[in-house]
Amino acid sequence: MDQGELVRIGHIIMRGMDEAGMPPQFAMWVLSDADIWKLWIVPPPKLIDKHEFYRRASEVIAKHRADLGDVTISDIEMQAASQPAISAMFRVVRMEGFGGARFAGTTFNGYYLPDAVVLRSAAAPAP
Amino acid sequence: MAYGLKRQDLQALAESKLKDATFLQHSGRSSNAYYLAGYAVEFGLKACIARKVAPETIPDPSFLKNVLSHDFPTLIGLAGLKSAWKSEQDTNSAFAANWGIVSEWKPEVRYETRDSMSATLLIQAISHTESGVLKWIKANW
Repeated sequence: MDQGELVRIGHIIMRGMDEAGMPPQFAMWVLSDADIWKLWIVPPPKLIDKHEFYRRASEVIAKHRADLGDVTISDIEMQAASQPAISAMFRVVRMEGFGGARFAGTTFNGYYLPDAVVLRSAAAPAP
Repeated sequence: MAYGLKRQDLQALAESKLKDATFLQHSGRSSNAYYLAGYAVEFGLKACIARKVAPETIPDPSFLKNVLSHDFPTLIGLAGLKSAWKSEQDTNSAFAANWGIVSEWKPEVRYETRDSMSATLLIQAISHTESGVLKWIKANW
């Protein structure tokens, strides 16, 4: 997928989550070691149940199926705000709402990201 | 994956890995329970693929390359089940949630530590009697 398509799909999912009352604190597409893009999402602090997160995210995908094509729940990965790359991003990238900034071949807090597109980095969580 | 595995071998391996993972989890060995549980899904999906392989036919190169993948959506695609999988997710959010949990697994977790909660969650996502991923895999293997 090119960056434009990653941003389009990511924004649809994020908007759907916003509307469903589970606004992501942080969202970023990451190219995995297996050369597959995964949308990392840090849910709002109150949403800590992993099964519930994926259940509600799947409902967002189903609701927007016509615009999301072949996207499935397996394209999304729930992450913690404490994940090393994410906690570093929170400090250096401020992106409220809906954005799209690419980072390639960059190491954040000791975590190497071969390719990534940040879509939202809303607020640094309380320590 | 060793070459020459039959569909029944892969089915037996899938069941065996889940049993072993459950045993390890009950024995307090969460990290290895998590690691092994993922292979129950991988072998199950490979049994689904084996069902589709035509006898006396050499598969095309992309099939041969991708069949060694550990990525579950890739394996589901090779098994010809992508459309059915997607449709089931769209109508059964508990099933989709279990696939979300299962899809976090990758072979590299062998280098990582997983807590008891993570292993329990993964094993439940695989083995849940109503919406577990293995139930759906078995219906297609």
